[in-house]
Amino acid sequence: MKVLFAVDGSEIAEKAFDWYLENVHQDSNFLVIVHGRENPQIPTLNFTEGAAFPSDEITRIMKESNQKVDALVDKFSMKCSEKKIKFKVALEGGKPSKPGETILAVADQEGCEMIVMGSRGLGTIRRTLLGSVSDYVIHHAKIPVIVCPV
Amino acid sequence: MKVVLCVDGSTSAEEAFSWYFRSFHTQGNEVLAVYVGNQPHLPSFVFYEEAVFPKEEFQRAVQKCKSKMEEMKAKYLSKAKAMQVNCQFRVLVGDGGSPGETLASFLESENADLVIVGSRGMGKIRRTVLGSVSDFLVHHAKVPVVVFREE
Repeated sequence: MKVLFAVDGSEIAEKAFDWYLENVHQDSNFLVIVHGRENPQIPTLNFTEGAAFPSDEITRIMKESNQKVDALVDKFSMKCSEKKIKFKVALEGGKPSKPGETILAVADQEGCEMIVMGSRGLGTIRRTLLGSVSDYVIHHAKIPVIVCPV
Repeated sequence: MKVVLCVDGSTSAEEAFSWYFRSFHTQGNEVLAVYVGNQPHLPSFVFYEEAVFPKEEFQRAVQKCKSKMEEMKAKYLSKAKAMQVNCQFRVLVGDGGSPGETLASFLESENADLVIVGSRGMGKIRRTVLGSVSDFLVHHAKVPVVVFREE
């Protein structure tokens, strides 16, 4: 079975991954690891005072964000290699700032039969029990979705 | 792993059941197919009229619920037999809470490890993309929830 696993930098994603490996994974499964990247937080620009456009800072922020994504991808790739799991990493598809859409687009493209993800990740609004991305995915997916809680 | 499979009378539940055993089940998993029984439905005028308590009507309503439970049990146990798998069937009676709440507390008391629920069942409000039970469970369950989507 082709399984899509949605990850971010959170501990929940890692725990969900470990849980999946221990309880659900079968050797014939193929994992597609997806990170739906969100646009990094760019400081609000002060247009009224005619300050210079902080292009250096923005470049730095973008670089940091890309590095984080790369580190994340490496982490999960290593886990898969260690356990001899067949996998691939998919980073394209969907709009960059809508992780939910990216996840579903990749699932479609790759012909995945199931999605596994954490209930909440790194998002800023932490009051809710269910994060915005998992909420989006369960409402819009056409295939079974496993949501792993905190 | 203890797996709870939520079923109702819908085809979505039947598909989830088949999908689970075909694609997901591993040897050693204990599977409980769970049905939340309907409460017998009494027409509300009973409480306002001065009529005598409609014992017969009530008994009929209770009988209807019981038959439904028997029907569900027979259906799922025979499905399990046909697929040559082991599965228990349980009926839950809500204490007044919603089916979602009843299931959530069942999950806790049984120490379930995983729950599988259809995205929509037999509810009358079909506009919504996600049914009330699956919605409740993804928001409140303390164990992983598989939301099954029929094709």
